[in-house]
Amino acid sequence: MAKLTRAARASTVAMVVALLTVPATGAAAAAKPKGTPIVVGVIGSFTGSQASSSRQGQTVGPAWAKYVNALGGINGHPVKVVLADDGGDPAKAQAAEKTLGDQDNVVAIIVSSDNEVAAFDDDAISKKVALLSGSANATDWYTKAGMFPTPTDVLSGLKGQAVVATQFGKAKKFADLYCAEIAACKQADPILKSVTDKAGIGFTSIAISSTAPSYQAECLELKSQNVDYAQLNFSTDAAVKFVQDCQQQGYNPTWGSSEQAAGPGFKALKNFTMFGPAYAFPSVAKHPEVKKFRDAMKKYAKGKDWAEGTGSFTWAGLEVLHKAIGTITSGEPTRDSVLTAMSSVQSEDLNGLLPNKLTFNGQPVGFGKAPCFFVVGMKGGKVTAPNQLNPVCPSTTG
Amino acid sequence: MSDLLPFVVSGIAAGAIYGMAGTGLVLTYKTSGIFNFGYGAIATAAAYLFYWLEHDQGVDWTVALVVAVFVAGPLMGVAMERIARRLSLQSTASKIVGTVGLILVVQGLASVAYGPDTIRVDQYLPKAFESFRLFDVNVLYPQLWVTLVGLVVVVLLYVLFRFARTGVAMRAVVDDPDLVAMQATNPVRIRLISWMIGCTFAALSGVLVLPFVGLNSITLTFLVVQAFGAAAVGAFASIPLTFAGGVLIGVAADLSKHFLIEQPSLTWLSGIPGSLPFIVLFVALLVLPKRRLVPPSALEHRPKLQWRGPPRLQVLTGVVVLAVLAAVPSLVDSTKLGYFTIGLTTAIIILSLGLLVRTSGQVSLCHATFAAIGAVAFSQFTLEHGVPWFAALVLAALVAVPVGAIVAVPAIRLSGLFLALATFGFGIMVEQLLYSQGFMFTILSDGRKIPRPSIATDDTSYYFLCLAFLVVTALVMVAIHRCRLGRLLRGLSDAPVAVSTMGLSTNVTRVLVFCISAFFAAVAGILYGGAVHFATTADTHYQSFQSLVLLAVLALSPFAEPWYAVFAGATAVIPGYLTGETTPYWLNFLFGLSAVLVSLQGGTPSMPARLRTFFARFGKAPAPARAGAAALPVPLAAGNGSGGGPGLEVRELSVRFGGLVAVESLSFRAPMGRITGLIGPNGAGKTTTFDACSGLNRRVSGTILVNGVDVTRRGPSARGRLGIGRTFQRMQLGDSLTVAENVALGREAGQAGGRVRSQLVASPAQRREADAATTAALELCGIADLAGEQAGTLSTGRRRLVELARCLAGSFDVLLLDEPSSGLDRDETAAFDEVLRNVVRDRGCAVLLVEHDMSLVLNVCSYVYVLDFGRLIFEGDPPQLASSPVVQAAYLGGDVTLSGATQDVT
Repeated sequence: MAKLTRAARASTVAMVVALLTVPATGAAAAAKPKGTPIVVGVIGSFTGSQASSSRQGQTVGPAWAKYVNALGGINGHPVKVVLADDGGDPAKAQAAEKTLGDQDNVVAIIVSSDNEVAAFDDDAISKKVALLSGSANATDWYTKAGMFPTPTDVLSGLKGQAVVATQFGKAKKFADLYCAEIAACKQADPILKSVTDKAGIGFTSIAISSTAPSYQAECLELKSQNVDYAQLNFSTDAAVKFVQDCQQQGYNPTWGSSEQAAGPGFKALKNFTMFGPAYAFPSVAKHPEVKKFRDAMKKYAKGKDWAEGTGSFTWAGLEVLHKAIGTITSGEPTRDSVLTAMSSVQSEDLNGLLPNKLTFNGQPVGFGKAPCFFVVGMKGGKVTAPNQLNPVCPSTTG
Repeated sequence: MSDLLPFVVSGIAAGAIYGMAGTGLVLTYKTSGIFNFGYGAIATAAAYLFYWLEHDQGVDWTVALVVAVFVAGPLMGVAMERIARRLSLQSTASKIVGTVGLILVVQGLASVAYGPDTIRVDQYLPKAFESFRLFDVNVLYPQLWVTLVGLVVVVLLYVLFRFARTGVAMRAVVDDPDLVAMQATNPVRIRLISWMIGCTFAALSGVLVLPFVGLNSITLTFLVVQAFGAAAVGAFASIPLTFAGGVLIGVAADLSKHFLIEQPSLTWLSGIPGSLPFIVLFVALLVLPKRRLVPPSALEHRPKLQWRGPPRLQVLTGVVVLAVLAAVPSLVDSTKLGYFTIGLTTAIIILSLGLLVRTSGQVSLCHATFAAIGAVAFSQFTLEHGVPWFAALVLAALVAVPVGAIVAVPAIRLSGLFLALATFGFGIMVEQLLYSQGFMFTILSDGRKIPRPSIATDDTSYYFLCLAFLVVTALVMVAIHRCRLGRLLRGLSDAPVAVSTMGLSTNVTRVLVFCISAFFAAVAGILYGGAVHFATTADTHYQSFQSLVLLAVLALSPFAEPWYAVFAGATAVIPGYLTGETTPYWLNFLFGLSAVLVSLQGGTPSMPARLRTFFARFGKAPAPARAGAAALPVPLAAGNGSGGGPGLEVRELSVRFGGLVAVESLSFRAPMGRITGLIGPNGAGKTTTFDACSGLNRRVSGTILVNGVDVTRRGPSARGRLGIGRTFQRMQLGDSLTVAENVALGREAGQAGGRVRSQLVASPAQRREADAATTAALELCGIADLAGEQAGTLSTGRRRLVELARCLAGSFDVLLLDEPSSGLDRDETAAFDEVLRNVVRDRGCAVLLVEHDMSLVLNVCSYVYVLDFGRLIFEGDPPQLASSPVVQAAYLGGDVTLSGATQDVT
């Protein structure tokens, strides 16, 4: 008998493993869905220069499909998730969206990371493909009908940085350290100053170049200005270096960041205490809905990065879609019916999984309609949820 | 003051890295004449090697450092010396493209291996996390080590240069490699040592800076590129000043951070610290004395000639290409159409860059900046001011025009390498300083919306819109090549000095071509933005690195204009079909490698002879510019004077090069209607005198008059327009032009002068005049049958005749002919003799002839001046010349006592 090739051996092993595991999974699951599959696209920057904080959709998406199907699908229809990598390139993003829309015939697309969403949202909207976030930093989420943002809206979330600093970081003087390369990084500056002024705490800001060989000068400046809470609004890898440089100058204030940045880089830092707003649920929070997420990921996810970056954003978007499609009880879910279902979502927070009660009515969402956020933290190399799944709403806290 | 000290201390460590990197750069530039744009790539390659050894293979850091710096560094030096040796013979543009290609090679491979994200690297130097206190700063020991290493190696290098034999030879090889060779020292070996030391410096910089910035190919490359600013402080020559410049830049950057933080109203200048090295570079190039920015001279190979097919073939090809492009939407998958649309916009920006690089011989490394400016301005016009789409496109592209003019300011005083450096610095400066401003890409994360016109909102119609713009751009480019501006640009590229002395204000031409190029680059930027609907700083198409990619793609694109753009556009489609994660990086690697290889060859290969023959069946080659026009009964030149007029008069002319007196108190006349000889042994100062008369060297004393008008303070082009024309000892021909086009330049350069409109197009009257002058000059020189040949393909003798015809076609009263019979055979020389007599007889112009062929001088000259060691030793008619013992002594050697008007010489 001819020897098996390495690939053939691998295939054989995989088949055996599959045969052994499928019955085990099925035993714990509800009845296997038998209807027409509901095809959902998940698009994001899975590769490219922004992938480290944007690629988690490719882990969460397929795992969510397995989770849903294990529960019997949606109204008896199995779901199928098709991944599409935009590569951090608008041209690739367009091609990926067209493939999802024209060839895969998805009924909706979850934009797990929205770096390139402006390149393709018009095309998707024209095809009546509902677009749900993921992360929702782009303006289009708030200005275009047919787009459904699920996390905290971006401008309110920026306020959250200062609110968290005062409430959780006990800040006396706040510094906004924003990236020098991108104009959007500056947008937080006036908002944060306004909030800190109202809160009666000091404020300063510094533009940070993510490619500088040393941040000693910035650290010395922050130290001389007695800044006790420094918000790291620039690339995570540079922020890690920044913290190290400051610590080496004997300066180690409480740091501000965000849920998406709370990855391995920060975890490796010593004596690092961080707080920040979480626009989607912190994956470490003690809450039944978050536990479902963790359990599903542990059971079905192929990657281990689901607790980082856009992981919880993607899950939240998929679950909002899950809920909306679940309301379609007559006929096959189509693009039209999914769009209608999404436009009919009323005061939905997925049992507390979302920081805001979402209501969509077919019109552009507008800014400021989803102001609440969760809080994430980090201490001793571990991510924390200081306020668990109790949202903080700036409008009510000042 | 004391509150600034911490920032001074913190800036020194970073500055030492810039200084050390700059030192290696200057070293190799000084000794090879090659400015290594890929210097950062050498550093990056060493850093990746170090990381691979130390992190991936678990090798001890000391061993990894020794291998990456002291083994790989010299080895890369050996490779670079070979590359540099071959590049040294190529054009300036090839030299730049070749080294830029290295950046793409390293960036591509590094990204394939380690991805595009920055990988943090722990500090490996001793006492990595220990520090000592200095002026309220905890100075880390690694920072101290880096500074000390920088200081030590620079001091060692300085000592080597000053005192060691090899060092002295390294300095000498710059000035005169032949002389070094005569001293039993092999200049190749000396250059090899320089490259090995220079690349070791680069490798050391890369490995030392690695823990400070992390493993990221672009960051590492650009960080070391910041050494360009340090090199500029040292005027690209002084090693101690370069190191000091690096330290100063580092300190100034940190001080500026402190200052900007203290001044909240200046947050819009927050990009200053990061862009300071490039600001220094740009400003230094603007203010450094021009004489300090002259690259080491080297004999360059003539660039490869691009064959142009017969007009019928070109039209046929155009129809076929257009038909294929028009069929794309119906042939390709709709998911791929976006790539083809972007391919069309790439073709447009490549055409705009090609006009600058391929046609005019100037290099731009900031074309992505023009594209970004166009896209931003367009978005503002359409969305903020409600300007209709097409009007907004034109207005936005016009916004890029003055920016192009600003970039071209250095082009007025710089050329080649330093112009490229200035554009490189400008592009990065704009990116770091302005891209982050709200008025550019807004403060929104999705940047600026770039709308499509109402007639082309869907992808297919937008594709056709872009195709229409490409066709229009291609036609405009072809038209530019065919009209006067194209000839002037090609003349500017091939023979910049010649077109200047013929009356063309090349400053205006350079600014003009930058403006046109910027306009079309902006159009491409707008159309690209429309293709993807928005423009952000994160889009690589608007980033300065893209400018390097564009240059590499242009370099490897075959064929003449506009066909190379089709090839370049096709490269943009590849990622649509090869969708792998690493495809963009492999493409960059291939583009870079191809750019290096093509540059080493001096350009893309010419069309094989068999194919030329095959394609020739489709019709005749392009008709030479009006070569067939009938001779008109007008004089060759509209001479201002008549026989016996003052012509050229030189009084007390002295020219010095440092301490060397090249010409001393020289006075002579070359009146109208006379052939005057100016002879002397080699090194006598004849060509120096010509250069002084034609304005190429204006650092002279004395007075130069043309027909009684003092032109001493005028530039070469003004003198050309006032009536001085010349030929060159080392020929200055437009090799890519036909013979007829070359000859026509003699008249057209003066007609174009310094007026924009005149440079763009010729009036009908001017065309008729140029036609007649061209035809008459061609016939007079006996080369009418060569009118359609490319000048670069001709023998030396024939090229001399073309240069003479070009001079004769000009509107010159005084012709300075520098060894015009050199390379002519006996028959050609005899014919030349007759040509000269006829010209003087018919036109009554003045001819000043520098010539070694004494029989020709004695035959044609009515009066002769003889120079030796820069001084006039004889003047008289040919019979007196023939019998002059002074002249014989000068040519044959010996001690002679002069009397009368001349002086004693020994």
